[in-house]
Amino acid sequence: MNYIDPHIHMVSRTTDDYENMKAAGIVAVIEPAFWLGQARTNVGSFKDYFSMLVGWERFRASQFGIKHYCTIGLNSKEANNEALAEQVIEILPEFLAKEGVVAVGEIGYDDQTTAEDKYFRQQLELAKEFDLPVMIHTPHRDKKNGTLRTMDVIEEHGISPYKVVIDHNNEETVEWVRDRGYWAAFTIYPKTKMSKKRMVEIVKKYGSEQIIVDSSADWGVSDPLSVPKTAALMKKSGVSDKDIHLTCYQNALTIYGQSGQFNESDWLTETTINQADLHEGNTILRGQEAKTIHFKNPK
Amino acid sequence: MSSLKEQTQFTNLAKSKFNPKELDWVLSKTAIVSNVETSKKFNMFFSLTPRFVSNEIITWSPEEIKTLKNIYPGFSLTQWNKQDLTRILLMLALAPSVNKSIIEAFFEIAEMKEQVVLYKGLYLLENASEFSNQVAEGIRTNMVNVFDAIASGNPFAQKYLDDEAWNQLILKSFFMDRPLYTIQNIDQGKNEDLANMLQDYVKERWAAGRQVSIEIWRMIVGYLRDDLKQLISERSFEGLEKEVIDTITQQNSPSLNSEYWERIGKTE
Repeated sequence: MNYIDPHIHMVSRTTDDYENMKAAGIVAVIEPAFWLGQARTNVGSFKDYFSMLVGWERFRASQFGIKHYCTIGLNSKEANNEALAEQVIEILPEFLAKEGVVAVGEIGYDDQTTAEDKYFRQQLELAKEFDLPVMIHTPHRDKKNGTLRTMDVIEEHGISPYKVVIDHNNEETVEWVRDRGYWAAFTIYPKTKMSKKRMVEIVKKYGSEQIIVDSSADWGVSDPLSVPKTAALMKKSGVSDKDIHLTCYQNALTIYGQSGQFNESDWLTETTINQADLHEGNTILRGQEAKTIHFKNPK
Repeated sequence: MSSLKEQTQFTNLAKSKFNPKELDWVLSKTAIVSNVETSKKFNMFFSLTPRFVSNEIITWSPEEIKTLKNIYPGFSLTQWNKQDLTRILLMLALAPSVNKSIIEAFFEIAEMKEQVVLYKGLYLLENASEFSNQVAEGIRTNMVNVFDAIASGNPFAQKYLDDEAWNQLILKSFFMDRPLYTIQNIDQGKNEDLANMLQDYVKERWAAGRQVSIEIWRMIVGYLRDDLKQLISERSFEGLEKEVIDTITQQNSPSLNSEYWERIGKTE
């Protein structure tokens, strides 16, 4: 079965991860722009980060037969540095216009400050301007109020819940998010957030409609194989193939496909990967054998 | 550099390939970009192109190809789609007084495919020579498709790069396992410094028990050093490599023209 991981921070992952992900059936990933574990201090760092997401990381993924897409946005933590945030907002449009940018994200609230609210709203307006979906990061602290407030603000700005993914849900938030028509994503972490086992229970209870599984793997303890592993556990637990397909592939394609930038044909047509740029410590395949890999239609 | 006449020829050929709706978009955006006051919109239009123009590969008539190869040697060696043409028309629309600052700034935020088209399009600019530092920087990329955009079927490198940057391009082609015969006017770029660096590279590779591309000898022949001749005499070669080694070690081999090397490059 093919999988999509619609939330993973590949800049923090190794080439082993890429190889394992490919072997496990992941055909496409979406990398949301986020913070780097520590705050950036100038706008140039953002510019280079965004251009890395659409440049080097896109290329790196292609070398392993995985299609790489991204979302662009100013994350809520760094929105609190207002002087910097102003400059970052200025450069967002030029990146939102780029091919393969499938949403504005991940945006939303962290501490739910006034500054966070201001730049969240500005970016919702950018989503409307560029006709892009929105990927929402829900806060870990005061999650209930943060999630409800996020949805209120989105609706205030006249954005359809059908174009919005609310991520990092739990057993509580999923009810409100689904009742209001949003796509509910679940981050499967080995220790925190949501576990594979709890995820299976959620799918058993709510079915697969507008529910999405992702790994949000980054520089912390996380697992880039969360999506295929959760799919395997679902299968073992008697969840239907249709529900697995929807939660681990199709739903992500449907919501982010609304951008016009995320098309199944991108990875279903034959991909030739020329791993030619190796040798002498030059790039990603140091010391390994040069090879050209042909991936025929993986279905 | 392309003359204004050549630019007009190119522009007219390109425009003839769009459907009416696409052409409307292209014409309105190039008009905005050509006005110095609004030329900063270049970045946005360049990026938004795939939303308004399809990525259909262009088929050219033999007549058209002939014209295009005159304007842009190597043109037929790579594929061009409608989005590429649109983006190059946007580049050509920029006034030469502002195109350097706008295009160089855009390189800093360009995604993979955008970089490819930017590098392919530079040669057509009236002030192409002003972009040689940008192209020298481009050679440092590790994205194969971006490197190929500079190296393959693109006349810019041989025409505008200084020897140092040109030599890096050739050396890096071998490091990245890229073909040599698609580099435009490759034989005009032979020089002793390059031949020496390549011979050192051959020695290093052989010492490590590794192979070299057979195309490497194209840039070495004429400058073959005694230490290499000695090493060659101590090694045994097979097949195509043997044929090439035998040929280059003969004095004044008449067969070593560009057709010969093209055949070798295509066969390897």
